[in-house]
Amino acid sequence: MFLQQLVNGLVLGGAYALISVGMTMIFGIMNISNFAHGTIYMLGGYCIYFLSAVFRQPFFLAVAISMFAVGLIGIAMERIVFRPVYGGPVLNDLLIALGLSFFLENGVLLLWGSQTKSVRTPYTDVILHVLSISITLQRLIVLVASVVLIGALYAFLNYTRFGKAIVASSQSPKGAALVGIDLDRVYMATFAISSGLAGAAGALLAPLFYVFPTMGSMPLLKAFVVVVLGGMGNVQGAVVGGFLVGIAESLGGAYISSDYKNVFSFVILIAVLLLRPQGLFGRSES
Amino acid sequence: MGNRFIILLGLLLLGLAFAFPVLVKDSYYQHIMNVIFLFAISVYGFNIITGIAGQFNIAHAGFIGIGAYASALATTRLPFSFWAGLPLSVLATAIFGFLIGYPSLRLRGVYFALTTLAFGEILSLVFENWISVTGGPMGITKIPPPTPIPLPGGASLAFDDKSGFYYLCLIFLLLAMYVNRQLLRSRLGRAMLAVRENEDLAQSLGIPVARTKMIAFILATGFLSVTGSLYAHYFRFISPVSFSVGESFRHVTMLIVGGKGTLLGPLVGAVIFTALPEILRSTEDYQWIAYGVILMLCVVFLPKGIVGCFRDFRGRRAEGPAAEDR
Repeated sequence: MFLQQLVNGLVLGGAYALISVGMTMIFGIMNISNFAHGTIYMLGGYCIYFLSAVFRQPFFLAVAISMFAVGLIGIAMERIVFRPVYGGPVLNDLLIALGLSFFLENGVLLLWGSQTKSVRTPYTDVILHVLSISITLQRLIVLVASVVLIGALYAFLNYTRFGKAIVASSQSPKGAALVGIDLDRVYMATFAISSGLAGAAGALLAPLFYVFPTMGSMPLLKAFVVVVLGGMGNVQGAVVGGFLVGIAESLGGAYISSDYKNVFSFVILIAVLLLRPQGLFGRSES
Repeated sequence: MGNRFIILLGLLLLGLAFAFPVLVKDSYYQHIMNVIFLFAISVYGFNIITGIAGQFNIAHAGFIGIGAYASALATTRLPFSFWAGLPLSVLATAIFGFLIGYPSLRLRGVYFALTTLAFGEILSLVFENWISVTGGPMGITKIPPPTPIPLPGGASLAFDDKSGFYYLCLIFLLLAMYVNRQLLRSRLGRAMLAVRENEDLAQSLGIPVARTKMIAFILATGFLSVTGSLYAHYFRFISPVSFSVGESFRHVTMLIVGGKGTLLGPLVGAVIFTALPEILRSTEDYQWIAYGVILMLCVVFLPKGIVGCFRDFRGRRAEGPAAEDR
């Protein structure tokens, strides 16, 4: 029972981590709390629905295409919507992201209706038994894909020239600009990566849950919890935080109350904000 | 436009507001006015904490919910009338406001917004799951209207129809506007504005930042609770959907488009976003998309909202500092 819940928590945690790393990058580099991140995740879900359920593309190809498509949408959003509010008051970026998520969510609702859509893959019915644990192949794929994508992001940020430029910009935008880093490109790339990963998460999880216009609102809130827990702007923190929140939710739901499963993560959020607002791994601001 | 003109215009509008149910007998329009007033009272509350004190409270609809549930429970489960339920719900909401505000107001900017977001979600989960008290997703039905107030001479003031309720809402709206006006002119309100503009600077001037924010928050929750209570006894039915975090965003749009931190902004926002969807019935599907687009455009092109920009325009023409206060 415990091991089973732990594994469920890991699967959930991998997905949370995948959604959250992008959000924390946007916060770290552009100082924007992206309230539209959940709707980007939702777009990933719709992409895979059309590619996989309607156009019958193989699952992995569909996930890859969804990731790139949503990444492109992310670039468009950065150019059109977020660019005007850089450096403005804190409220403005929050409000503009809210406006964007209204727009996208209800646009999707209008185009494709409110009824839930399901995505079937050959892997949802395959159940693996290891020791006393059973897990569907689809869930295992979610976990492995999350780990692979996060690993790829880690390698990109640490071992490539442009990745290092992104990290430098998050440490000091002015300093980065001084040494010749093109901040415009960094901002664009950050939004592309962040949205692409959220889109991939939406695509990977779509077969486990359903696809519907407001499917992103809970993941958005969870991502906020994870981002704060890991320290806003801290990519490694978001990964660890994602797994912690996933496991806490899974165990809390199993042993305490499944009705209030979602409350646990918010309690974590409030506790972290009050006791250690810089996050578990963040540096103190002062 | 001189000050005298403004005062005359204000008095005229006030007179019209009081005469409205007599002039317009159509209950559909009376209903729309009531809804506008309900929204306006809540957006005025929102204005105190977010517009004037600058703290973005996303648990907004959750507080309206506490007020609504407290009042509904006091009148359906307990032997209280609306007139006892209303102050009770204000008290309950203020207590929650204190409990939530005390820890979270120590945090700044986006951190405060996130904490209230979490509280807002917890509140709507509780409304939905604490079925023995809140009725769960089915909500609470058969909430009684306010009992009539007997007048000397055998007559009585009834509130079970739309026009009676209209005056009740109008009085609370005027109270909300009065409190906002006093805040914008008083020492306390200016302290709130200082906190909004620069917390460190405010502190260095000797303004008790935490206490000022707390007063703003409690005042705001008071008006939210009144909105909730009036809402419950007007519609006589409440359910968790009306108090979800998503609902908070409707109020956000009203405040931002109307003009945050201004005296008339909340009213203008409430009128626009209640009346327009009613007039443009055929485009109901596009309503929320429009909210999104309008909110985005407003942040970029009209950051002070309609009233704020109008004030700037007048201020530039008059070139007097007096125009800044209104």
